[in-house]
Amino acid sequence: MKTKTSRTCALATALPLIMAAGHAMAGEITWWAPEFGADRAEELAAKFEEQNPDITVNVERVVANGLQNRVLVALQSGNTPDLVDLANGWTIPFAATGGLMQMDDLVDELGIDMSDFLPAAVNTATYDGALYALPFRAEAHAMIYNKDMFEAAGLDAESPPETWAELREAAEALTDGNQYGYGIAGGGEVSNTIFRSLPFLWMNGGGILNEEMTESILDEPASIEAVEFYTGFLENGWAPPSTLENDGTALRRLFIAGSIAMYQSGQFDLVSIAEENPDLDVGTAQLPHPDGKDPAVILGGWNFAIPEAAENKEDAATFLAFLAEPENMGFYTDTFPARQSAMDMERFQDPALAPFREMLEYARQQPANENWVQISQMYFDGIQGILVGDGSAEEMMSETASQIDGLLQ
Amino acid sequence: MRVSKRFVGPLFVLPALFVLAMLVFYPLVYTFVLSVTDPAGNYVGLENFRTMLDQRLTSRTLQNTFVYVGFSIVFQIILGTAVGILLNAKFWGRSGIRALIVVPWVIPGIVAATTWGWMFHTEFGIINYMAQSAGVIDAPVGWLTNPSTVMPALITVNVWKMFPFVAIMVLAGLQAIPEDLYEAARIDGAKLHHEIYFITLRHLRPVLASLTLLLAIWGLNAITIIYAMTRGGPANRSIILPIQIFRQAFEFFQFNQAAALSVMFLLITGVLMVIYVTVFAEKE
Repeated sequence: MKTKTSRTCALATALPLIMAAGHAMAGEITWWAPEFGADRAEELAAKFEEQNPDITVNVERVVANGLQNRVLVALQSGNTPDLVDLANGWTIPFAATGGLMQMDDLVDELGIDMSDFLPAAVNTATYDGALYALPFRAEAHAMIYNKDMFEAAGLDAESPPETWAELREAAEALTDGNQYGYGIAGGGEVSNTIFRSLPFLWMNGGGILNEEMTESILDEPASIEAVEFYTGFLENGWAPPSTLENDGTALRRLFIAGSIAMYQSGQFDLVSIAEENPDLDVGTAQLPHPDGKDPAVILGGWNFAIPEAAENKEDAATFLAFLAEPENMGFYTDTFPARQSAMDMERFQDPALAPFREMLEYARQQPANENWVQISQMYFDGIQGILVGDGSAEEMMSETASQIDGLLQ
Repeated sequence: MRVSKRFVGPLFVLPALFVLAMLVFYPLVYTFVLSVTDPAGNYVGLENFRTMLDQRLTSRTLQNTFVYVGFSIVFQIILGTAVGILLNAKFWGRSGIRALIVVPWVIPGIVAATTWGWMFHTEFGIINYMAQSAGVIDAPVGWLTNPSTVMPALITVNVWKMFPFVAIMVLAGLQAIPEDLYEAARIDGAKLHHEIYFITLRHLRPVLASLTLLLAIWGLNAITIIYAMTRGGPANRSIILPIQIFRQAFEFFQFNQAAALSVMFLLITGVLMVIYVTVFAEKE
């Protein structure tokens, strides 16, 4: 404790000096770690410094909100940290700007076994056939449900719905007065609705863009059917009337308040639910899929990247090799580690987490298109249009598809 | 080297004027340049304007903007003037009420908007709770998610936010009207409504004219209330021009098209302001 304090003091005194010098000194690296994991980041840094006394790691706690823009500005100005955590959706766009260091040779040199990494997670860090970041965290949505409500509705709480038809039946049975069967997202940030509806399109063989990302496939029957399935929960009255203002947080609050019986989210919701309403008997299950087809889900997660303009790439690489060790990766992640060998750690063995882990096998990355933000906004506007009754799923999705096609030309 | 006396004053102002000109004209000119170029800086003529006008969203945005700003101004002026006249009357506790009435205007916009957003919420909102308890409505109303209620709800919040400012300005205007005028009118046999129409409103006209102009400018540029409460939704039912510009620039990173929108926006407001100023300048 004492040594830690004195080191912090020494650092604080040294800080103006470092800043005045304008660049990091040799043997010193700066790591931007989002605050939700920064405590663990500092522990890892301390452990690393013990093993490598000649390298100092400065953990800079950064706020996750707005981090994407902050990193973008840093990469463009060339005033970057030596190591940075990136959400997997930002990685390819950043790599496309040329701001990230290419890592294929480095990974070979460091002896990091890439075959141990979740392939979908590696895809989020691969641009133009080259690796630009090292995945460390991976997660996928699963279904969360209220076991007591299942029993009250005469359903078996131990065998949750597996197919779309079963999910509809359960949603109908669980809807009663102010209690709704299945909560869907239709408001808040666009990504909330993307993460909860796009998997259904994928499961059914549809999607927003075709494989080559040259045109939209929203107007194809498979996509329209899945959109109808998603929006149908509100049209049939099985989702709460507040659906158009519900994002992930609102759904969790509704679930905790006992207003919805089932919804989908990431495993981090389990912690909040247990804290706010410990009496709730929570069950988890894989996302229901169309009969005879596989489930699908969007891969969420984070990657480590070394900026091209980093001052101290050499030491950053040494530190990266340390972070990539399975036990360190498993310690640092908030959800699951990107390395499959780290999955054996005890913290991932909770049976409630099993469906989230199984869903990882079906996880895919969001399309890495330069216009993805605008495309997802168009799709979201279309979904909201259906939910407010502007037109049928077929009409709205055909219109959205033609808008997206116009953008892609 | 003698400088003629009449140039001395302007010379002292010159540096400040230069800085001001840079601050005003540089962004303006840069926006124009952006609006006719592509991201690589090549001249593309009116291509960006065409792209934006081709989007069906843009006509909806324009329509929403006029509805939002227009109705807001009408109700802000009516309510603000009425409250201003009331607060000018003498009654017990007047100064306390005068202080209270400015609260909505003083609260930071983002705080007010977020709070109103929660109050309007279908599930957790106090408005539905109270209306249902009082038996006014049977089922919860989705104030911000129903296409027919979202605009009235947002206009209500905007009126609530800005009417205190109108009331204070009207109050100041009222206090500048000499008491003798009312006395003289009463001697001539004027009734209360005569007094209000011929004296009060006549004298308030310049105040109301500048207020309308200010409210229009602020209303057209205001993004906080709508962005915090609905983000332009549901299905773009409440999107207004500043929000579309913001989205285009800072969410889609298409600065050139956003610049084209801004230029169109500037032209529209410019024309409106010129019409407004000439109409009122002639009457004064």
